[in-house]
Amino acid sequence: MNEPMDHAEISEQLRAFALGELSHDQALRVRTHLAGCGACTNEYRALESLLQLPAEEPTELESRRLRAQVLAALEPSEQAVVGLGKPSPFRARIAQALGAAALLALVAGIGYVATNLSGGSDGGGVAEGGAADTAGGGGVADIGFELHFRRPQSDPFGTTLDQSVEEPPAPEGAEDLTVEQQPKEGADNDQGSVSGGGAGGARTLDEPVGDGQVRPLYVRGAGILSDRKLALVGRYGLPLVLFPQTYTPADATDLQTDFLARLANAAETPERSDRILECGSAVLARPHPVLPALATYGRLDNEPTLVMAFAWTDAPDGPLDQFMVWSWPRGDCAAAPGYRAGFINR
Amino acid sequence: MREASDRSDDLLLDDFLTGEQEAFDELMRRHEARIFALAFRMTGSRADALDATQDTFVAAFRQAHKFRKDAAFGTWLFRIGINACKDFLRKRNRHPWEGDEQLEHTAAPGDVERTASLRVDIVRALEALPEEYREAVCMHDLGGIPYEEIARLSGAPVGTIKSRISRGRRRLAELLELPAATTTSKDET
Repeated sequence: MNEPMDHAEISEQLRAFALGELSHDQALRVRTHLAGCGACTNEYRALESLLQLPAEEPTELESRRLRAQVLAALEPSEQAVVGLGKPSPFRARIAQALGAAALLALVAGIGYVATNLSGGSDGGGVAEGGAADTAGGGGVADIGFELHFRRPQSDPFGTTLDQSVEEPPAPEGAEDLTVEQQPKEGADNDQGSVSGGGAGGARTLDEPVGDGQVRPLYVRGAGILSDRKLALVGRYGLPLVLFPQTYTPADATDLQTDFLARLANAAETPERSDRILECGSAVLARPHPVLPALATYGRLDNEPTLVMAFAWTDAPDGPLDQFMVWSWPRGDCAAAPGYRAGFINR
Repeated sequence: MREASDRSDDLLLDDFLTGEQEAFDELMRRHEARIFALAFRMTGSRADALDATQDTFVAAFRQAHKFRKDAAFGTWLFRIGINACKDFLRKRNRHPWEGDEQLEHTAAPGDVERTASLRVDIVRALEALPEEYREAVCMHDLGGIPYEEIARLSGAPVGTIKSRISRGRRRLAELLELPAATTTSKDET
């Protein structure tokens, strides 16, 4: 009964032996062989080491979110390839959003002109939406809006920046996100390097956005970027903008074009504004409502790169607890974008 | 049409490729636990395991139309998972400050350092194995995938797979610098 086993037989049974799945007799034969065979014992020890690594299972919540994230990570074109590009209830709204984004491309151009006119000195720049040449479309806009480039003292966005935007709560030793702020030039003027965007149709910066608590964040001078830093922007950067605690998917649908325009309007040049609108609009066309939360330009793999972070959720009523960070080399919206996704840190 | 839960993986994959989202959900539901377990073992943190699991499924669904069905979908997926974890760790290792922040939630304080150290050693040792050894060892020992199934996916004879796993483990023992057992049996070759 207890015939000697050769090494190959032992090797085949080692995993079951380690997991206690062999019968008493089988286990005895393996144990007997191991007692006299150094090579098989070494093999067994290596296997034991592997099996010592703790294995975990995803929770139900993680599982549900994982499925939604994978779906969201597939490009719309890829979803079409694999057959998931079905019409969604958001399509109509997205079409509206994209139409609005095209219109807001004109607005952003005007906003940029107004920013330059205001000189960033006393925050008094006001542009009336009458007629202006735009850098983006080169056309003339007459859409009856006005822009106020003044952030009120009560603006909670400014308060947040003043308190904590210098460095995200990243793990010890983490690279800085290098959020730079230019010196403020006046008590009432905080239109610095980090700005909340300006244009938004008829809305002005003095009016509350959503529940009045937050606005999107444009960061100037993000410096050298890395894949990990982009994930940090999503995980730790978005809470600085307070999106997760504040907005729901319905808000995202309602406000996404407004926020996109604000980000575009805060960019340093008309070209960057255009790129934000163009690349951002492509993301808004995805099948889940997303809220543009943060935009910046930095260098990734030695390329000047546009980075935009979006908040979203797969839960019906939010809050927006997940991020997508997209990066476009050279701000080229036609280029294959980089992509990171995950949960926003709370 | 049958419920998604009553369909085989292959049938679900076909339905997924023709646009049925329920098939996508069911495939993920069936396989995410095993991929997550692999990713957790390799990365040591829930957040990273979720990211690596996400990478695995995104890669798998992007390549789904290339799957030839000469092995089970789960086997094919697991191999993608091994590679996704390897790529994820390579990227993360450029930033070694990130990664183990959640270990404390999964082990008693005294076990944390030991577990983290063991994992780092094992992952490094696995990376040092020849690819065909690493893949076979991970699939069989971590994934519990039978020899025959690995052979089908790899297109190699079963005997070759057995040999790779045996040699891979022994090489792993050397790389881990486990105290060598010196006893030599009389039929050792």
